[in-house]
Amino acid sequence: MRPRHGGRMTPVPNRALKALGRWALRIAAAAQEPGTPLLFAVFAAAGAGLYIPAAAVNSILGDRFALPFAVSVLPEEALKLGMAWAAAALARRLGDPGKGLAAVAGATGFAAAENLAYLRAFPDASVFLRLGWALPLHVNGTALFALALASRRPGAAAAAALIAAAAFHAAFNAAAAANPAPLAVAGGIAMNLGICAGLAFAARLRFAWGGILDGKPRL
Amino acid sequence: MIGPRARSLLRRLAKAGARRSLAGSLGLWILLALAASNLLSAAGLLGWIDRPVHDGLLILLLSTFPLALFHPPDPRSGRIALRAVDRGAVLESALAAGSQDAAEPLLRRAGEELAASLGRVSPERRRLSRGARRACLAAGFVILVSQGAFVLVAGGPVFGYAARFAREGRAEEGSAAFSRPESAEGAGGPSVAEPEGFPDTVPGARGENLAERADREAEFADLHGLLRRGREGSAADARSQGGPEGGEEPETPRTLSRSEGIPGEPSGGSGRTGTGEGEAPGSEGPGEGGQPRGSAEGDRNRGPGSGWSESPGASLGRNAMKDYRAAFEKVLTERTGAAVTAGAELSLAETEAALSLYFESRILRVDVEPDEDPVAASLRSAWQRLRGEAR
Repeated sequence: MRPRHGGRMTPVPNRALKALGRWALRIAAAAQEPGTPLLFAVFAAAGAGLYIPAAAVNSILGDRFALPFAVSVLPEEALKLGMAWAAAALARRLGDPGKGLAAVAGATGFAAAENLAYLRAFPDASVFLRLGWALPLHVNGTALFALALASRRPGAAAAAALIAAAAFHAAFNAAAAANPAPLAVAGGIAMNLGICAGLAFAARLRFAWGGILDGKPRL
Repeated sequence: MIGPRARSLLRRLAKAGARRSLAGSLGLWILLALAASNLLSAAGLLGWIDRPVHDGLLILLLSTFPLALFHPPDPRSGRIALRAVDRGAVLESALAAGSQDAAEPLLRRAGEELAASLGRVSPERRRLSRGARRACLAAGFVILVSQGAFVLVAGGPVFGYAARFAREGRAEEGSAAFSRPESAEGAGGPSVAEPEGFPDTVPGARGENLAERADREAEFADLHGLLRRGREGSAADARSQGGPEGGEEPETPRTLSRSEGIPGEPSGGSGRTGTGEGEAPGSEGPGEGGQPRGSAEGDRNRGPGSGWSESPGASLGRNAMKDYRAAFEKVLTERTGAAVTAGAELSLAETEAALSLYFESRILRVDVEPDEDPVAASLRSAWQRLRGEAR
């Protein structure tokens, strides 16, 4: 109990509740702003949820039709392209093309769900190596889609990005199935992380400086 | 429209700004992730979470890495950086001017002059926001406090999962060390809660429940009891049967170069059980099941609960295999010098050599006169005589 101005006493639990209420209001206000973490959280949850149908489709394609890697990666990439398209549409509506990067959060959720499923099936340290391959792999493809959909010719760019991402994904799947040497695994991780950093750099340039560098600033 | 110099200036500004922004995001993420992983380690050390939960949470934590890189930038950040450099809005005017505008050549020339005068300019360093500063401070505080606590409690910094340091945790670690003789942990110091490697790669191993674990611990404790009883019993038998005398130093194989354990030998088996006073205890071999080898008489009292470890961490927890290995390596180094080290690998040829050396030393040869039966001897000589006559 502490005295207030008028000499009245305010119980401590009341103050704690008020502080909690203020925090809740702040969080609610932040969530209502466009492009805040709420958007990313929604996309991450959606990506994690999409892992289940993607895994089911992949399983059917692999078991019943014995399709090669090049084909079995297409459902995953198509799902991620769909997420990127949804994020780009939302970003256009919000008037901020940078919000299209929320699709990357979806890919992150997708990769996290996949890695958790692997951890459950193969509970050893290799799951962390797999994380080094799989996480940037999914993120790179989706970031490529987001950049393509924010370009001047989104249709053609997205088609090219889909082919590139699927080919890259299939190559990594094939490499993983070949039980690569530790050095090759480390090289794959480094390459994936390097590409990830490059795409992040390109995304910053595009969404923060794009108009200025194109000579069409939104002043 | 702007000229080539102005365009080059803008590109430099954009690249520097993007690099700085990425580096800031990445640094903040690393700091926060490190703090969160320290909290996870602390939770593991306190026994609040077990390894699967820890690993799952760590995967989720590491999965947030792309979010730091691909966080959408403020769309005004480029404009703000440009205005910080171009205070007279010369470049902005040139950018906004259309190619058909009458003032376009003038603005373009002004932009080029400005770019030439600015030379190599870099964007202003922006201070961290208040929230980011607070987050950095909180993360640094968490890392410092948790690692300080780890040093005090566990005897060293902890990264990754650390098992609970309660007594049952030590028993589990001890039994796990028996099944992983090749792990570096077994040869390490007696720290209480080191980050553990994965126990094994068998998927079913993770599904071990508490009852199975308790059984394993009980088996581990029984094993030590049996080993001690076996050693004492065999030594007592040897004494009662007129074996090696008390003060006599038994033969020790000198040519064993590496680990002296016998791969795949069941627990309490031949090993080097009860080989006399002061003999080096056998190391654990890399055999299947990884059961412990026998110990020497010198280590007879080094059983659980008998003050068997003089190591500094002994008061906090005991590990059979660590003390076992430490004692073995100490004796081996004393006797063979630095040229020989105790290793975990043991080839078949080395095993055969070790076995032959070991059992050769125990062959009992007594030279005695043949004790022949006189009746049998007379019969044999009679038969020989008869055979000679018949021929």
